[in-house]
Amino acid sequence: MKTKQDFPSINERPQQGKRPDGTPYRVLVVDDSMFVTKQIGQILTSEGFDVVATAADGQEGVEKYKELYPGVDLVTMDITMPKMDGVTALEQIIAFDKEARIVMVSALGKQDLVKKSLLLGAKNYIVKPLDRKKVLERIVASLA
Amino acid sequence: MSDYLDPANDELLKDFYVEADMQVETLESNILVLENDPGNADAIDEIFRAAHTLKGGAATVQMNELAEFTHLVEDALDEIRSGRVSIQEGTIDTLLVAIDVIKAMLAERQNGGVYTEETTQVTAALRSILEGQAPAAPTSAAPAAPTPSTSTASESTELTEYEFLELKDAAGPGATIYSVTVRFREDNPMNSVGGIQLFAALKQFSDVLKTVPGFDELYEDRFHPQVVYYIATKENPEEHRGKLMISDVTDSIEIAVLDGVGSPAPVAAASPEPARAGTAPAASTAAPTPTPTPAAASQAAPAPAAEAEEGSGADEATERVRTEHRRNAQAGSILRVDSRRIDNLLNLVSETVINKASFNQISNAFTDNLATFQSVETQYRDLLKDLFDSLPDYLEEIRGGASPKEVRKRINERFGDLPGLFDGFHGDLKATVAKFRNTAQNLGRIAGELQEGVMRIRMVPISQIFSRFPRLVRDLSRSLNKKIELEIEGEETELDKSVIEDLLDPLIHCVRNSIDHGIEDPATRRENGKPDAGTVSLRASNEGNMILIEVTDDGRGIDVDAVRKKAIDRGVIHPNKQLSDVEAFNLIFDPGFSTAKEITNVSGRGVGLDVVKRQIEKLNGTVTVWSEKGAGTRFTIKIPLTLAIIQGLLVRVGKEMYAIPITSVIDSHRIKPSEIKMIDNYEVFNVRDDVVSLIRLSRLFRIQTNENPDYHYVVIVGTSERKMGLIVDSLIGEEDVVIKPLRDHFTNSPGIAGANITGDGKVSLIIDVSQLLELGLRREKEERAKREMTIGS
Repeated sequence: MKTKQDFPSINERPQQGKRPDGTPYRVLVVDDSMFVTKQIGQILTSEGFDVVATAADGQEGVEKYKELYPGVDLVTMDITMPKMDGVTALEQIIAFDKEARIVMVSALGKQDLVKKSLLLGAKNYIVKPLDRKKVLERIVASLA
Repeated sequence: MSDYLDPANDELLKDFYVEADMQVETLESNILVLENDPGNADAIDEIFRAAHTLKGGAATVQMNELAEFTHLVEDALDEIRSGRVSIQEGTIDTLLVAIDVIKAMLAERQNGGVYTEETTQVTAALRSILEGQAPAAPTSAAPAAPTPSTSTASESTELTEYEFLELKDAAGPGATIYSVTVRFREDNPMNSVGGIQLFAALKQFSDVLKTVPGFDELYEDRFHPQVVYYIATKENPEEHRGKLMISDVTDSIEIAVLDGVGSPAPVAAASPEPARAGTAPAASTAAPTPTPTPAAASQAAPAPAAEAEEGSGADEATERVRTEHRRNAQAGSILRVDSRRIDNLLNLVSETVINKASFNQISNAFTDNLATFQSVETQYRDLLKDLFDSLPDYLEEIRGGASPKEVRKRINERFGDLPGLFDGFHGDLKATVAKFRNTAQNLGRIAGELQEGVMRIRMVPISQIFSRFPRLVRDLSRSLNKKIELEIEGEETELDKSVIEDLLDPLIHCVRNSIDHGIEDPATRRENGKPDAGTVSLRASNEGNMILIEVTDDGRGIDVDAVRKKAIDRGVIHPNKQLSDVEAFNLIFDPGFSTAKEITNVSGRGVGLDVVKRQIEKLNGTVTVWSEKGAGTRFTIKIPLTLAIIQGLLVRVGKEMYAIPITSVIDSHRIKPSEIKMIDNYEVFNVRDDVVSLIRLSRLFRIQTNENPDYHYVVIVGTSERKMGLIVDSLIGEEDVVIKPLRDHFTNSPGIAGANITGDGKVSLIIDVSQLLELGLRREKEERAKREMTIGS
């Protein structure tokens, strides 16, 4: 059976989730929907990212970020979540670590919240439904 | 948003309001010029320029509703300017209503709110002016409608010099200002987010000073195909281009250095800009359209506006002028001063410095004098002591047989220079004193000129309020169906700013009175052999330390008999009282007096001319009226040039000193106590054939004094028709009195207008004559009421 090694072309392109030194970028996924969390997780791990933790609401997200600090390179943050919404969580994380790289995940129709987040320091945003190419594009752009 | 051009910047806003008011005034006055002379190209240009500047300013301070509305007005004016639309009466009305909306928007903003009322009628009327250009081809009207694409396209290219300077001020030192023009992709599902996303990205390395469209608009959920960001940064934005190009979001980015108006120079390595061509203002292609057509189209539409105008009524017109002015007064801490006046002051200040140096020299000279004096004095004393000490010896010698002549000679030899010892000192001192006197005189002159110079800084031409009358008169004459011509003279006459602010209301009142009660309707005028159009004139002139303002009309004049009858009906005067015509005229200033037969919405609502009188008196001025039946009426207002310094008559009561404003002093008398007569419990005194009631200031202010001196001094104060005598202990003299306002808990003391510090450092209180008169009048009325009660019972 042929393995990846047999198809060098696949390996030619370095995985986007890896630093030049080969270590993966560590991502915290905050989303109240298991489905979205999984989806993002799959997209990211397939590119070599390391999803170090997930959180189901804003509050948990903030706590995990602080707990892991400085072990998280990027956070994907859902906007509408129970307990604490994504914009508040974003504010709290930025207040804790102003270098934090956060990408907002938003459904259509939440333009104003996306704008608010961007002004508060979010690096970028992803629109649901998720599109693999765009998700990677925006997350990579945010890591630059 | 601290790095954003702060719309709450007070200084900036203040400047904006001052400028906006000027523009609005220019707009209004020139529109009125157009009404009479529709072909006046200068006026049209002037109007257009004012509207344009106003729009630019409004956009800078992010008053979007104002910017948008003014933009529409500007478009309409452009049509007129280019001659594509001709001016009709409806056009003028529409423009005037539009200006009222602009004023209201400004007022609303100044009160911290945003104008929210419906403007659809006006907007529709304005659009109809625009459409007047080609009603047959509705498509050509499209560019006029402020669709986002055209408005951004046209605005992105024009940054006024003012706006540029604002940006420059906002940018930190050393930073370069760039314009970053970004085209966004419309196919992005969240295409309205891009504007903010770029804003956030630009913020990473620069200060975003301004965006077109404005920040608030970017925040709205609307797609803007192109946004121009004006940023200030020390870095080269080209290096950040990668971060700014967001796939899916941005289409193209154009970065240019901004170094002046309208000349953005591309930054090295700027990408060519594919977008421009597409956004080139569509308006230019749509412009050359057939000329005006039918008056019908442009006439029909302004109609609602005209109705609205009538509905609002002329009464509101005056209200509007007032509130607007009050607003000015609040924000009006900015004063435009002719630079020559400042130069003059500087000159005087340098003279003061020289003067100070002279005083230093004099002080040194005095010190020298003193030293000389001391040494001479010591010499003198020593000699004198010697003299006394040696006197017994000389006596002894005389007794011993020496001839007195011989002794005297010896004494003279020894003490001969004693009397002349001080001669040199005397000369020195005299010279120093002369120099001192000279320099002090100089100081007096400089202080006087400084006082005048500083005062002149506060002086503004009366045209500032006169300029409001053309519109007022126009609106009033329309609502009353009278034809009126307004003449204005002496606009350049200058007055203290604070006085001018309080003068507007009384003047409006007088003019309103003239138009409403004075000028007859055209038919009546014709019957009386007068021209259809009545004339109201406003005239200002200087008269010594006073300003004279006359409001004259050629209307029906005051009906003396009607006034007299009414005064008797109202109980203002006794039926038997003989009144001269002048006295009768001036009765119209009595509270609650209105001779209008029916109440109109212009005047005659009970708020009478007494208000005018009170306000003028508050300014230490006087108002009189003169009239000739059938020929017209003239209101004469006299007010001092300034309120800060007045001429005062200083009087003494007990140990206290009071200043009575000389403008209200009629004359003064020295009377014997026996000349004071009593009528119904109060003291009166006969001046020629007049009886004047007296007030003892000592009693009024509860000051201990000798109540029965040999003589009393009586100062008669008041106006020609209401007088009162103030009993004081003595008169001190006239002096320039600098009024210092009294603070808080003193301000309620009736009869006191303020305090003054006299030359010797004492404080004297300044008497408020009008309040005293009122006090006296009230007392009189109470007494009369009491008396009538007693008689009745």
